[in-house]
Order: sequence, then C-alpha cells, then structure tokens
Amino acid sequence: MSKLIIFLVPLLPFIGFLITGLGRKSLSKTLTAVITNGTVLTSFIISLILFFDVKATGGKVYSAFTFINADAYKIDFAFQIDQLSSIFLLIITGVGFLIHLYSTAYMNVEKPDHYARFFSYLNLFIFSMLLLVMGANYLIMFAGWEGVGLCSYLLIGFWYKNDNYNYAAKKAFVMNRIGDVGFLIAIFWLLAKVGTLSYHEVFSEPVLSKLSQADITGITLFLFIGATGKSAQIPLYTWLPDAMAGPTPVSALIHAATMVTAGIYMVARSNVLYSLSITTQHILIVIGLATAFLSATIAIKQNDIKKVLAYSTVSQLGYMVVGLGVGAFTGAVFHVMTHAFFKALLFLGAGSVIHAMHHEQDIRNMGGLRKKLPITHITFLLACIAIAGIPPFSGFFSKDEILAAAYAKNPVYWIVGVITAMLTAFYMFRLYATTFLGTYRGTKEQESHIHESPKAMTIPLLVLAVLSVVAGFIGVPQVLGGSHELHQYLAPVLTSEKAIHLEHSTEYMLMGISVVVALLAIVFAINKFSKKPEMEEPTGLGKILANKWYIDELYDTIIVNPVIALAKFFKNIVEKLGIDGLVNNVGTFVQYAARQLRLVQSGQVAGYIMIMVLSMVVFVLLWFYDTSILKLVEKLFY
Amino acid sequence: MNAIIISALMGVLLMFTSIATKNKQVIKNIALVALLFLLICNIADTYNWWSIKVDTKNMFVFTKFGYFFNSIAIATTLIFVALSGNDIIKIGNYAAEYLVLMFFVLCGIAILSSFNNLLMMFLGIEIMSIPLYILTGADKKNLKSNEAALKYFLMGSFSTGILLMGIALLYGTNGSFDIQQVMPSQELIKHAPLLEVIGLVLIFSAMLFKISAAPFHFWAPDVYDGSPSVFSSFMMTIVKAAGFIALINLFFYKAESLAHLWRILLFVVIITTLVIGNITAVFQQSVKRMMAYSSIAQAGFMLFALYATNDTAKEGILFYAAAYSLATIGIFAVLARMDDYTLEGYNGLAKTQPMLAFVNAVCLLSLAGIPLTAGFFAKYYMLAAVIKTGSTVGIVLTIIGVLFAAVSAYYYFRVIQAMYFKEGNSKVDNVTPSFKYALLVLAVLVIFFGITPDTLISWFYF
Amino acid sequence: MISVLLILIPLIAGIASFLIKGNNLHKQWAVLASLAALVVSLLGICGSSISLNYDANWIPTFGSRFSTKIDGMSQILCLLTAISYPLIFISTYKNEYKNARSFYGLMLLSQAGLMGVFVASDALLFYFFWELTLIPLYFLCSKYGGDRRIAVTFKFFVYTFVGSLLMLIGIVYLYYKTPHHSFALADFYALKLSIKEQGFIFWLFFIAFAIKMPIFPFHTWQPEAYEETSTAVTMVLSAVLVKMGLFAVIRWVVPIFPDAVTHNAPIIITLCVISMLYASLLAVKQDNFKRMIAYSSIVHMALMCASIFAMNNIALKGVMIQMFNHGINMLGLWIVADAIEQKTGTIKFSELGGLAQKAPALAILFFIMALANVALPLTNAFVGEFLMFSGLFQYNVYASSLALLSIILAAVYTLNMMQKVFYGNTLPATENTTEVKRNVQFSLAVLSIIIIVLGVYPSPLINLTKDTVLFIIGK
Repeated sequence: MSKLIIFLVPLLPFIGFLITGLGRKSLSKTLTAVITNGTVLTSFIISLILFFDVKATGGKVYSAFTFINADAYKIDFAFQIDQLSSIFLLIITGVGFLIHLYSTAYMNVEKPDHYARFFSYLNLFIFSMLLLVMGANYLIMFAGWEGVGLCSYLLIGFWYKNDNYNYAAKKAFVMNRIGDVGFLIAIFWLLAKVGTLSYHEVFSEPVLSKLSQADITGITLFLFIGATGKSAQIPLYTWLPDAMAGPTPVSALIHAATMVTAGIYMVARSNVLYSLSITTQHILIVIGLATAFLSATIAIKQNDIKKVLAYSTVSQLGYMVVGLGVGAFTGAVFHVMTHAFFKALLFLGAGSVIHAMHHEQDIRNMGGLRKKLPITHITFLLACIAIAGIPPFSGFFSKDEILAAAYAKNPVYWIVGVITAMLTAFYMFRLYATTFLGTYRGTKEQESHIHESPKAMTIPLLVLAVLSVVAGFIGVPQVLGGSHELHQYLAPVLTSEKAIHLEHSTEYMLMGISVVVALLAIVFAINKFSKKPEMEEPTGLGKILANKWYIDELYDTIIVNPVIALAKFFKNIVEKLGIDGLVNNVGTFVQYAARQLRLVQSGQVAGYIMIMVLSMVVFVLLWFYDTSILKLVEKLFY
Repeated sequence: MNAIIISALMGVLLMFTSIATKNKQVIKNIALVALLFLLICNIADTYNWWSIKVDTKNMFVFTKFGYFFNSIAIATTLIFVALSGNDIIKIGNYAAEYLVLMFFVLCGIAILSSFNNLLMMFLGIEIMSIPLYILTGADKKNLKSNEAALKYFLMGSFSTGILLMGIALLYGTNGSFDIQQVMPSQELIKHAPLLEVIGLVLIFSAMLFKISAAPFHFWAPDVYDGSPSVFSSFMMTIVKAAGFIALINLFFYKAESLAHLWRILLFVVIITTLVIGNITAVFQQSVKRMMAYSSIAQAGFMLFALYATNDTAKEGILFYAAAYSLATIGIFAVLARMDDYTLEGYNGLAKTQPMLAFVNAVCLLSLAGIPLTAGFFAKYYMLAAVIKTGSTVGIVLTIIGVLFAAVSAYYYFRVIQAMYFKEGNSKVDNVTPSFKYALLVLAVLVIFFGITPDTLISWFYF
Repeated sequence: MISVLLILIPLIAGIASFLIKGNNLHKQWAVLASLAALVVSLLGICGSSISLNYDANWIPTFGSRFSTKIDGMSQILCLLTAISYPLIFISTYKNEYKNARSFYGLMLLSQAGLMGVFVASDALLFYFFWELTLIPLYFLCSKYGGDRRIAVTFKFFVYTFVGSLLMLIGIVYLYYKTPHHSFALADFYALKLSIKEQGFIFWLFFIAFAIKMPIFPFHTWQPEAYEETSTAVTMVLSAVLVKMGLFAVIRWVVPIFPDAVTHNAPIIITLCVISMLYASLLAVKQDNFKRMIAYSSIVHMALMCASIFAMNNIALKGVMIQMFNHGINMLGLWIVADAIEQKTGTIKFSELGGLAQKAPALAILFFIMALANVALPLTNAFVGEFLMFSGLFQYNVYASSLALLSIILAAVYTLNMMQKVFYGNTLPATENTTEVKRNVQFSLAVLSIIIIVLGVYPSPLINLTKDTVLFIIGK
C-alpha cells in the first residue's frame, strides 16, 4: 500500500472538517452533507481495501516524519496498519458513515451554519479516532485519544446556549483528562525505562526484557486508568450518562460505537504487556465485572430512553474489559464490533423515536409506538435481541466467548457475568416494552404528528439491523461448528492470547444457561411492562437505583467540593492575607517606621547634642570591644 | 597650591567688583569667568604645567586624587552657578557677597583635599564651614532660614570643639600634628592609650558630623530644609563630598592598620545612616525635605568607600561625588523655581514643562542608581569596593545597602509618579530657554557618564 | 552584527518615535520598525552571511566589553520578541493611547532592552539591559491602565529592582573572582567556585530570576500587574518579559553554579510544583479573565523552571521550545482579552457570556488558544510540556506525577473560561457586541497557524535548541 493512500484515510475527514468548518457561513446544507459524507465514505472504501490488503500481506508501519526528537528518544509521526487497526478502521468509518447519513436528516432542523458546524465536528471526530487507531506508537494514539475527547466535548456541548449541556461537556472532558494523566504517566514510564513508544519495538522481546515485573504492572495499570476514563469504567464512568446531552447521533457514534471503545482498543493493542501482569489482569476483571453489574442495575430504573442505553453501554464496556482481563482479547474486540452495530442501532432507533416524539425522551410518555414507527420498531427489537444475547444474533456469540473465557478463569466471574446478562435482557426489554408495546401515553398534540422517520434515517437503521443480526457469524466458535474467522484474522496481533480449553459439554451448558436466563428475563419484562408500565416514583432499593447509587453525590462530597473549598481558601486567605499581605506589610512597616523616626528629628538642638555625645561614648566602647562584636555580627548573618 | 591661593584671591577680587558695579548679572558673569579660570589653574597644577610653589613644611601633600577632587568641586560649582546663578543673586541685597563666600568655601575644600597636618585640616574645615553658616541664613527675611543658620552655627561650633579636642588629644599623645606621626600603626594600635583612642574617635565623629552621617546628622534636615534651596543643594553636594575627601585623607594613610578596627564602627554608622536617611525620607511630603534626608542616605552609601579603603573606593568616591552632585544640582535648580515644594506641587509637571520633567526624571533615576545614568556606576563602585574586600560582613553590608537602595527608589519614584502620572498643573517661574538648555546639558552629562563612565574614570588614575 | 541590529533597530526607532509628529504616523512607524527587527531575527536563524555576534570595548577600566553571544536559545527568544511586537502593534492598532508617541517609543525601547538581555554575553552589559527593559515598562505600566496601576506597577518595580540589585552583588562578586577581573560570560563559566560560595551567590542570582518568572511565593506582583496595566503592555510582560527569568537561569546560573544547582534542585522543584498546584487552584476560582490568565501563566512558568532543574536534555529541550510556545499562546490569550475588553468594556466572567453567538470568529480563534493553553496534542504547547514532564519524570517520578495534576485543573479553568465567556446566553454587557475587527482576527489567525504548525511539526524549533542543550548538559 502506498503511503499516500494510508494517510488519505484520516486526512480526508480532516479536509472535510476544514472545508465545512471555515466555509460554514457560505456552504449550503446539501453541499455540507455531500462533502462530509463523501469524505467519510471514501475513507471507508479505502479502509475496506486496506482490510483485504492486510488480510493478504499482513501489517505494516508507515512513517511520515519525526514528530519529537529529544536525543534520548525519537518519536515518529507514524501509522500502523495491521489486523487490529484495520478492523477498527472499518467499524469507525463504516458506522461513522451510516451515522453521518442519519444525521443529515436528524440535524436538518438546525440553521445552515450550525448544521455545518455539527458536521465539521463529526468529521474532526472521525479524523481523531482514526489517528487513535492508526497511530504506530502510544504518542500518536494519545494525540487521537485527546482529540476524540475534545470532539466529544464539542459535540456534547453542541447546543452551547444551554448551560447544563456545557456542564455535561466539561464533566466529560475533565474526567477524561483524569484518565489521560494516567495514560501520560504510563507513557513517561515507558520512555524512562525503554526510551521508545512504538508498538513493534515495545512489544519486541529485547525491549520487554528491560522491564521488570513491577514496571509492567505499573505501566499497564496506568494505561488502564486512561482506559477507565475513555471507556467509562469505575471509577470514571459517571460522565457517559451525562454525555447523552449531545445530539443523539453523537451519542450513537461517539458514546456507543467508537470513542468509548478506545480504551478496549488500547488494552487489546498492548495485549502483550497485559498478559505479562497477573495483578493487572485481575484488577481488570474485577473493575469490568463491577462496572457491568453496577450500571446494569442502574439501567433497570432509568426512564430516559437515552440514559438506559447509556448505562447499558457502560455495562457492555464492562463485559469487554472482563474479556480483556481474562485474556479473551479476540472476544473483547469481537464484542466491540457487534456492540458497535447493535448499540449504534439502538441509539439511532431511540433518535428516530425522539425525533418522532419531538424531543420527548421519557419512556413513560411513550408506548404503543410499534404501529406508528414500524421500521424503527422492528430494527429496535432486533437490536434488543442481539444485545440480550439470543442466538443466532451477533450479541450472543461475542458475549458468550467472553463468558466462556471468564468461566475458564473462575466460575464466579461467569456467574456474575450471567446475572448481568440477565439484567441486560431485562432492562432492554423493559425499555422496548414500555416504548413500543402497550398503549400510547403521550399528549394528543404530540400524537398528531408522530411519523416514521425519513429514508436518510431508516436506511442506516436497516443496514445496522442486518449487521447486528449477521455480524456474529464471523466469530462462530468451533464448538458450534464454526471456525472463528475473526480469531484467525486477529491471531498475528493478539499473539499473547492463549486458547481456552473447555469440555464441549460444559460449553453447551454455559450457553444454554445464559440463553435460558436471558429468555426468562425477556418474557418476564414483556409481561410486566407491556400492560402497565411503572409510572409511580420508585421506593427503597428502586429509589437508590433510580438515583444511580448516589455516586455523583458521593464524588461531589469527597472530591469536588473539598477541592473547591481549598481553592477558595487559597484565594481568600493564603493569597490575599498571607503572601500578598506579607509583601504589603513590608511597605506599611516602612511607613510606620518613618513616622516614628521623624519624631527623633525634634528640632531641639540640646537633644541632638545629647544623642551625639552618647553615641561618641558608644563608639569608644565599640572600639575596645570590637572583636567580640565582629564575631557576633559574623554569626548573625552567616 | 594653585586652587587654594587663587580661589582666595578670586574671592577678595570679587568683593571689590561689587563696589565697581551694582549690576548683578555682570557680577555673576565675572564669577563664572573666575570659576573657569580657577578650574584651569587647578588643572594646570594637576599636570604641573604651571603651579605656585610654596614651602608648606610638609603641611600639605598634593596628590592627583586631591587635584581631581578640586577639579570636580570647581566644575560642579561652575555648573551650579551657571544654572542657579540668577537665583543666587536674587537673594540678599548685595549680589557679590554669596558668590564670594562660595569662593572661600572652595578655598576650604582645596585645603581639605590636600592637607597633611591636623591643623591644616582644622583650618580647611573652618574656612569651609563659616561661609556656610552665612549662606544658610542668607535669606534674612525668612525666619526658617535664620533658625537654620543659628542651629547650624550652634552645632557646627560644637563639632568644631570636638574636633579641636580630638586634635589636642592626639597631639598630647604623639607630640605632633603631622598625620604620619599621629596615626597609630598596626602594632601600636593594639595597646594604644585610651586618650589616643578617644582622640581618634572624637575626630572621626566630628568628620561624621560634617558629612551628616547618623547619628550626627540631626542638623542636616533642618539646615538643608531651612536654608535657601540654591544653597542647600550646594551644601548637600560639593561641601559634603569635601568632608569625605577629608576623611579619606585622614584615615586612608595606614588605612590597613585602622581598617579592621574601625570597620565595626563604620558598619554601625553606615547602617544607622541608611536606616534613618531612607526610612525618614519615605514619609516626607516636601520634596526639599525629602532630598535633605536622601542626602543623608547618599552619605550612607558614600561611607561604603571608607569601609572598603581601597583604590576602587577612592575612584568611587570621586565618581560618586560627581554623579551625585550633578543629579542633586539638577533637581534643586528646578526645585528652586517651583511654586511649591510639596509632592503635589510636582503633579503634572510633565505636561506643563516636559523638558524640566525629563531632566528631573533623569536626575532622580540617577540618584536611585538605575543603569544608563551616572548614579548607577556610582552605586556600582561603592558595592564593588566593599565586595572587593572579600569579607563576609562586607557582603552582608552590600546586601543591606541594596535593600535600602530599593527603599530609596520608593521616594525618588514618588516624584516621578507625581510628575508623569498624576493630574495637575504645577508651576515653575521664569523658565528661560537658556536655563532649559543648561539643564538639558546636565541631563545629557548624567546619561553620558551613565553609558560611558570611562570618559570620567580614565582621568582618575593616580 | 545581527545581535547589534536586533538591539539598534528598535532602540533608534523608539527614540525616533518620540520625535514623530502626526496622529497615525507613529503607529505605522512602530509596526514597520518591529517588522524590520523580525526580518533581521529571521535572517539570523536562517543563517545568513551576516555574522551573529559582536564584540567591542565598552568600559576598559572595568574590563567590561560590549560583547554578544547568540546561541539557539537566544535565537528562539529573539524570534519570540521579534514576532510578538508586530503582532501586539497590529492587534491593538485600533486602540487609542493618549500621548501615543511616547507609548510606541517606550514600547520599542523595551523591545531593544529585551533583545539586549537575550544576546548579551557580558555580565555588566546583561545587567544593564536587564534594568533597561524595566524602565520603559515601568513608565508604560504606570501611564496606561486601570485605576490602581501606579501602586501596582510600583510594587512590581520594587520587587524586581531588589532582585536585580542582589544579582548585581552576585555579578560583582564573581567579577572579583575572575583571574583578570572581567565580566565575560566565558570567564564566569571558567570559574571554579567552592561549594559554599556557590550556595551563597546562587541564591543572589536565583531570587532575581525567580521574581521575574515568578515562582511562588514571589508571584503576587504578577496577577495585579497583569490586571491593571493596559493589555498591550501586559502582552509584553507575559509573553516575553517573564522569559528573561528562565533564560537567565539557563545562561547565567546553571553553568556557573553546577554544584549549587544540583544541590538546590530538590528545593526549587518542590517550590515549583507547589506554585503549579497552588496557582492552578487559584486560577479555578478567578472571576477575572486577566487574573485567570495570569495564574495559568504562573503554572506554566513554574513547570518550565522545575524542568530546568531536572537537568536532563529532554526537559531542557522542552523548556526552550516551551518558552517560545508559551509566549505565543499568552499573546493569543491577551489579544482575545483585549478584544473582549474593547468590545464589552468588562473582563469579569460573571458579566460575560454568549459571545460565541455574537463573535463566532473570535470564539473559534480563542478556542484554539484555549486548546494550546491546556496543551492538547497537535498544539505547540503539548510538545513542550510532553518533553518537560517526561524529563521531570526521569528526575523524580513523584514530582512530575504531582505536577501532572495541574493539567487536569488546566482543563477545568480553561473550559470554565470558554464556557463563561463564549457559551451560554448573552448578558447585558455582551448583548450588542459585534465580530472583532480584521486586524485582531489577522493576528490571532497568524498565532493559530504557528500553534498548529509547531504542534504537528516541532522539529525546526527543537533543532534550534540542540547547541545550547549540548553545552549545558555537556558541562
């Protein structure tokens, strides 16, 4: 592959960003749409070419120029196209394109310049995301890493007149920044120890041998802190639900399909390092399971359609982290992919609903929409089945792979996983039932103009629906008579992955249980909520869940407020009274001394002469006792 | 010898001119010419082109150092008269009298710059001081002026008494007035008799009085403030510098023997002087009085030279004298013509009289010791001289010194702030173009010496 | 020769501008002169045939010479100075100053002083220029600005004056240590000072520079000064003047007192880390645009200072390029601050809001500055901070990790500013503001381009630092 083509992949969206960004005043909506969609589509096509090229000839590094050269180390501005990145390229550009397409209709209400602004941001995001996955070293990855954070900030706060949105945007950026600090420390640690950041060097035997066990654990842990920020894991997950303030396509693209999986990508990319540290792996598993479970429980009690999906995203990301933790890297990547499809689909479906309901997001005011929005309904249902993990839908295969691996590590992990799976099925179908089944509960006024969304929105829905149904088949495990193409494809990059050995009987059993459990949950949910959805305010445990375990409040009290208080203290006490006070006091003291000394100048000659005589006496004494005094002075000053 | 004799002669001559003519301007111009002539004679003496030879029985020793100081003193007087001549002749009935007195002061200075004998020193100091008492009281109708004169005279005579006492004691212990004999040497000083020590201390104190160093400074603020502005600048600059020269002549001989003993005295004196001078100046509302205190502070800096007692110090004191005199004369030339001497009086001078404001600013910066002005190198010299001694106490002294330099910046800059940043319309009387240009020349001189001090220093090699 | 030109052009132009009559003439004159200086400094960097340095007698009796030494670092800082002034003049072209002649005159004089500081290789000459920069700025700050400007400026003046006088003592001390009593930089480098001497004189020098930077707890003059003085002058202060401190530490302290540096590094780095976190927290609580920028500037300066004392080539490289980048970013932020003040008449966050609707171009340009301020990758500041942090990390893991917390806070206060000023709904003050003038947009655009280009391709800048780093670390 020629360099130029490689660099076109990220450059095209960037050019799109520049054109639409600078020309947003003059460009017409259609022109904007054409340019931005066109660029992304082209990069998708190139990515396809790359995909097959890699399949044929394997991965390769393409270096543009030296980015940072600090004698001690030299970091290139280089891209690495291999199995892993090419898969992500497809997901990003593919799903990205569909969502661009969807947005052309969804954002049509905006004024041309804001419309253009939105698409320029989207393109910028695609660019940064591509940078992230294509980068051949951690620094370029970090550049993209922060870039996507920036774009998510911009897009969450897209309607910048609303201050709540701005706060949500800020929260997202800052929490990501906390993670980024971890990432940076890991980078510095690597540089300090091995003096290189490029993957193929870091993961090479000689370099690894330079790292002690402690180093590896430390580096991987700090990297993972970065991941918890981006991929919304405990403790840094609280920004993601708030991020739903952004336009729904954004939630679909950034906060479900692509950006939030950056953490997963990073760990998968560094699988060599991670597989070398048992400690880190355990921490990954624990965090992953905890996140998955916690957010699943919260999702049960949410009534905002997007919030439910947000928490389910967090939960699914938890699954992926578990997958990474138990060493099922393929499984994790597999789940990233399938999840990208059905979660994007869910969000877009939700968007279509919200669009139809005129920005009504509370599911308690919906219901019975299946007749009014047939396509949305069908696709949404398929996505729900997929995420619930019912075979042969895509979700089943990816999730099952992770669960199986978890079981192999420790059955307890598997149990938690299955429970979470059950919860997932439950809240998804609670959502589905309350929204689409039963009777319409919204206002007449809204009902009058509920309508199926335009083509530009339904086509992406259909495409994604197909994908969420069939995508699983590229990863059918041997036990089901498949050959797991994905596994074979990724094998060269995920070198450290060890095949897990389970009795076929056990595997069947595991699958069976999880499927049955999920089915039960579905049936239960549908019966419970299609007839009479829960309208009353929850109490007891339900209340706690509805309030998200009060985690936000907790953070405020133990972190945010103390910091603010400290800052206040510094500003009003230390700075004003303390340091500056000291400085000014010197001045005031001089003034004071001056006033006092002036009194000595009384104008009384007698007094003057008196003092003179006395001082002469003192002089004589000094003359005789000088040496001792000199010593004293020496001591005083030195 | 030229300077001593000719200055006296000129003085007498000038007295008679006042009989010949009543025209003050003429007399002033004659005085200027006389000063110029005096300067030439002194320079001639410096390079032995032509000099009056008198056998002084080794009571005088003429050194380049002394000559240069004379030249500086005469030159600054020249500039001073050229600038403020009109203000001088305005005071009093007879134009001549005050100009004449200045010549006598110069005569005294010439003696102080070259004495080698305690009696001569005494003569010099008296010849210099007595005219000053008169000059202080020059403004007969002004009560403040008279009070100042009286105070000055009282305390002056007191210090004279002390000086005489000291001389007497030294004579008593050594049986000689000759400095070489009188000044004790390294080994003697260890067990010098009490009387001798007292004698030395008395002389030292009397000299400190002349240079208005604390704690013998009390007369200074009242006198400088009370006497007519023109004369206060004269006293603050040239006369005070002469005092320093006298001190140096007196103590630099066998300095090393005295140095380590009286450095402790000087340490105390310097610090008290800096404290009193600077701190008190901070509070003054009247610029004139502020300058009076600042002159005490400057004396504190000049004392660094005595502390150091090395060649750098000698060069330094000359440079300092020149730089400080120029700046102070400049400021007072303007101040003498201001309507009111308070800070408010200076508000907005930059608008009404940009040129004068500029000159003032330059002079003030010079006093504060900011680079690009002569004042910087003056301060630099003092610090350098002390640091050169290499003693820790010395460095401590310099650190204290610079801290007070910062304080001094405070009150000098208050005037600048008043002139440039405060609104107001301050008045200056009869500003003639010639006056302006004379001032400009002075400012240029200050800056010139500030950029290339060599032009001045290169003369000082003795 | 280049070095002399760099000093002379603004100097002569400055003096001339006092004499120029006519209302707009001096503006054009100032822009022209500063552009000329820019051309010269570019010539210097591109390695033209004209010799860089110059050496002549100045005060033979003191053995002090008018000699200059331009190394990579000087190149960078001269370039920064040369770029800053035209942009300052252009961006504030529409502002009217009473007695404008002296305004532009003094500005150019200050530029001459700065250039002198960056090229001088004779201690006395260096001190000379060091003070020379201060005087015109003193007059500028006191003459133009807010109500409390006179007092504030004076505080700033005395603060720095004390510092520089202490440095003078140090210089003279070293002068007498040199064999033939000279002020030449080379002779100072050649000195072999005892540990005790170094420990003593080091502080005399460092305090002077710490005040200029400023480092906690000497920093209190800065926010006030920045707030009170007119923005054009503040640009000079924060974009260029503060760099004098860092520059001086690298050229005049590190090579002369190697032992003292290594010995005091822990203390100073601790101080720096403290001032980073302290200032960041203060920045979070500010309600005043200018004060906030001032504190964020303190954070960055502290980081640079700390990195110098990490004493490894990575950090040092970072410092040098960051000196340039920080200057550029500060310039940008101040230009925006000025534009906002001119438009709305206030710089209080509480009174601003919704400017993005009124002045979208300004909003975007400012956003780029803001990103540079939080050191986002692919902006110039990131490269510098990356190098510095990684260098600091090699010196001490905990110091650098603590310092890293400041980048979180940086995000907090920068985004706060962004949100409070540009987002949200308009307030009375911002109700009927309009897009900023072309000249402001132009200068901001230029800065943005520099920011992005150096962010993506920093090599040219990094290469400039090579020789200096080699010298310092090699020593």
